[in-house]
Formats: sequence, C-alpha cells, structure tokens
Amino acid sequence: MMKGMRRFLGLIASLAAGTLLATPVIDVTVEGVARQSLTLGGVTATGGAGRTFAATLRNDLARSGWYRVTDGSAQVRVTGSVAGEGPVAENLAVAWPGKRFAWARQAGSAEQGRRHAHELADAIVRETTGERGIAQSRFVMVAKTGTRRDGQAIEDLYLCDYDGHNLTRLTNDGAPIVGPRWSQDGRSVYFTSYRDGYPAVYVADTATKAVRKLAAFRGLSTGATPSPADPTKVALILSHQGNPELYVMDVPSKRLTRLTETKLAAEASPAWSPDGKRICYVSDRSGSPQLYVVDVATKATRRLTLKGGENVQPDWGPNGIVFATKRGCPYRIALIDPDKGEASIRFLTPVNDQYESPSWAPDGRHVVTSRTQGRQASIWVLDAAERGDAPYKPFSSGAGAQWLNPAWSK
Amino acid sequence: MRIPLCLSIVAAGLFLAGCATKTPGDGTAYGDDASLAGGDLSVDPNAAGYDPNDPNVGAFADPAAGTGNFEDRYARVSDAGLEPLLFTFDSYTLPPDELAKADAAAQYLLNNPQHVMIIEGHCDERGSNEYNLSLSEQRAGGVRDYILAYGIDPARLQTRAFGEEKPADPGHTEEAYRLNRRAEFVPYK
Repeated sequence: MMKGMRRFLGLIASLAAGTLLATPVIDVTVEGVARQSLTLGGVTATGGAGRTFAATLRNDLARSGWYRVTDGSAQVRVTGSVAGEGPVAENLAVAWPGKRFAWARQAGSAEQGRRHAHELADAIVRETTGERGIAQSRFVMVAKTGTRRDGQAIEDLYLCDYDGHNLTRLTNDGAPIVGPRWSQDGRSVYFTSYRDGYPAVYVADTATKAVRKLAAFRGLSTGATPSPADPTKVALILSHQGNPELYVMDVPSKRLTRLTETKLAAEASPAWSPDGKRICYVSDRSGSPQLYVVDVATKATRRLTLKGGENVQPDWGPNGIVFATKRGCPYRIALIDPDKGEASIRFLTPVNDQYESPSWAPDGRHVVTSRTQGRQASIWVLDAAERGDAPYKPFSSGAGAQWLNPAWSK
Repeated sequence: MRIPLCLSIVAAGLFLAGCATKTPGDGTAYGDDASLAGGDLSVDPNAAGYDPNDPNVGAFADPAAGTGNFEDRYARVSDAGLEPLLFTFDSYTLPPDELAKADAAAQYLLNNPQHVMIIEGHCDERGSNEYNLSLSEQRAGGVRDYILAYGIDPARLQTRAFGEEKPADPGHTEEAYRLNRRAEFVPYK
C-alpha cells in the first residue's frame, strides 16, 4: 500500500517540481501543466486496422491521465508506422529524455491489433511513469433490462474492455444480480444472483462463462469478495446464524470465521485492504449505515465514517477507500484515508449529481461508477487525483438497460 | 400429483433429519445463534474440517445436498390472503400498528401445522442495493422472531432478502416507497 502511494506521490513530486506536501494522495494535485507531454505526431497510420491501432493507442494514453497528448513537440515521443487492413504491421519506437524502447509486432487482425495497442499503452505508462496502466483492464457490470410481472428485476452481468469495446454478456440469469467483484487474477467474477429464486453466491469464469455456486446458506448469502492477497480467503455476508454478519471463508477447508456479532444490526459490502489484513464494511449498528474497519486477525474494529445519513459501498485501493455517501443530497462518491478517518474525506463528484457503486481501477487513481441522470443509469469513470480529468462515460450505454454496480478488474 | 407429494414427504424427512442435529437454544433472543445454527440441510459433514460442534460450520453449495430452501422442496400457497407488513424508512423495527399482520401470519401457521412459510424482506429503491439486501434480511428476521414467539417451530420459517429487487409498486413516489418497504408472508406446503 505504501509503496504504491509513494510512487504516486513521487511522480507528482517530480512533475510539480517541489510543490508536493508530504501527505497522502487525497491532498495531491495533478494539474494539466504538470503532466508529461506526449506526442503521436510521428506515427503514420495506414489502412483500417492500422488506423484502429493508432486511435486505440491515442485514446489509451489520454485516458491514462498521465500525459498531455499533443501532435507537436513533447517529452515523450512515439514514432514509426502502423499499417494494414486486416493484419497490422507495428513498427514503433517510444523515446523520452535519455531513454527509448522499440515496439515491433505483427497482429493477425484488427482486434488483435487493438489488444496490442492496449499492451503498448500500458508499457509506455509503466516505462515513463512507473505506474500500472489500465488499458488492458475490464469492467463487469449489471444490466437491468426489465421487470417481471411480479415486479422482480430482470438482470444479467456484462463484461467489456475499459474503453467499452467487446461488450459481452456473462450470465444468462434474467434475475436480480448484486455486487459483482473480480478475482485478483481477472479470471473470475464473484456475484450474488437470484437465478435459483433466492440469493446465493456464484463464481463465473470470465473466459468460459461457466458458473458455479459457491455458497447458499440458509437466509442471506451475499457480498462475496476474494482477498487480493490470498485467493483462498473470501469475505461473505451471511445470516444463517440469525441475522446478516460478516464472515471470512477459507475456501479449501470451507471453514468460516465470523468477524462481527451484531444481533440488532445488518452488515454489508465487505472490501479488503490491499494487503488482505483488514476489511472495510457497512454496518447500521449506529442507527444508520456507516463504514467500519476490522482487523481480520484480531477482530479489532473501529468506526471509520462519522457524518452523513449513509456511507456505503466501500472499495479499498492503494490510495484509500472510495465509497458512496448521502449527506442530504443524492449519493456522491468520496475518498477517505482509512488511517485518518472523517477529517480526510474528499468528494470526487459534485453535490447534485447522483453517482453510486465506486470501484478502483488497477492504477489506484481512476474509479468506475454508476451515474443516474433522470431515470437512466450509465457507467462513468472518475479521476480521483485532485484536479484530475473530468468524469467521462467510457461508452454510450444506450437506453433499454440500466447499467449498475460496475467493478473494475484488478 | 403423486410425484410432488412424494418429493415433499422425502423433503420433510430430510428436513427433520437436518434439524435433529440442532443445538438446543432458548429461541427467545433476537437472532439467537444457538436456536438457529445447525438446522440447514446443506451442511456437508464430509467436508474437510467439519466439526458439528463448531457454530461457524455452515452450509456450503453442494449439488447433492441441495440448499434446504423451501422453494426447492414445497409448493407455494398462492391464495393465503396474508397482507404485507410495512416498515418505515431505513428501519427494521416492527411498527406497532403493523403487528396485526404478523399476528395473522402466526395464526396461519398455527391453523395449518403442515405448512411452512418464507418471510420475504423488501426495501424501497433508495439506498445502495447491497446494503438494502442486508436491511431486508434484518427486517425479515425481526418478523420471524416475532412469529417464533408464538411457539412456532423455527424449522417452519425461513427468511428471504429481496432488497430493492422486487418492488410491490414500480413507481418512484413516496407512496410507492411506503408500499415497497415491507415483509411478505409466503406460505408453502
């Protein structure tokens, strides 16, 4: 956690030339002028697939948030050619002060070329900033396409690339689905579905689309979240012992460890710390849903949020916890330092806009959310860096579906 | 007609077998662990690390064992005429003027000793849907415990959280929200 945060800070420090305060990312400023300039002016793109490659690369580098992309002179220069109508010949070089690397590849198709462009974008980000890129990451989200006559929601999970391409359906449930979350390796999605008529926890293989039931305890089984540090540990919300409580399951032995004991309160939405040692979750033991943090080994618990009628849907990344908060207005997305608490909260969205369900990108900087405008819920991406990019819609999720509960692959 | 009947008898037998391992408890405290743990059919006694005395051992997905959920074992009674019990916003406290509806559900179980019942918990559309799932389970659990006080066998009652996923009224008005914050009584036989 600290390593990632220092990298994030370190880069800003080198760019902002000494204006850095020795405080966590929530106080950090990313200004347009401080970004590295990057030019694609030296890239010749010919043929449909070659132009797709170049457009994909340009979009990825702009979306990364680390560059000011220009066609003029710049610190980071991408030069060479991408050519082809189907297969793509990729002959590029990337140079920046004192360093360079070459990119010589052959793609068999425009789609493979697109994937190569994502790979190259992430390589440029890694080499020039030391950060993890997001160009090869994906979203999983819930599409609500209607309601049955008895009022039950008709929903399924969909996958897409982070730029909205390759939208594909993952499940065929036609039933309420809640809380999809990725395994750390990106191969599995954990979710709660009513596909059998009652809420149970399932795991979908994102490649084969095979789905298996993980837990169907009496009462409520939901909230399944695998630990980023140990895929055999899965946090769960279960009510089989009376009312909803937070548990951790050791998958191979099927043993449960109960972390809360609140007979008069409901728990929800576990989110692991990046090191897998703590879990942030929602509990209404105070009378309203608030965020709490429990140490998994000692079960020591403390309340994290103090203000607001509702603080829900936490996701814990290397630069803090993002969550949805209701403070007299629609839900807003906020960021909190888990070690500093309420005083460190910074809002990522404006007062009157409704954003929900935040999920960190693998770069620990961008956040995917569901935003409701009128009666239409769509997927939107936020930049959590202070004075970062404006929120944007990564793809035009059309009417006909409500797009809910997105989760960004890790 | 015969096949479902046979299945339900087998199911009832399985259920009793499952309950035979139930830890005795006084069953009065809200969410009392001892009164509720151990009654589930899908506990897998062959699983590595299984310890029947460990209250943390629960029910894991096992296709052969099934879930023990009433939907999988009984037929829904569609015309029971039980009215939903309505809650106030963000609350799982049973409103005093709604208790007659829970009393009627308890009376139904007393009058129909061969029937079982699912208590569905529901929320209005406001609030995060994950938290609403837990809130609706908490609502259903409170109603369950109220009905258990009539001396009903805990094995005859199950809770089912629906969160905001199955509103009674699809509208977005305060009146729709009022009707959607509810517990529904769904008997099975």
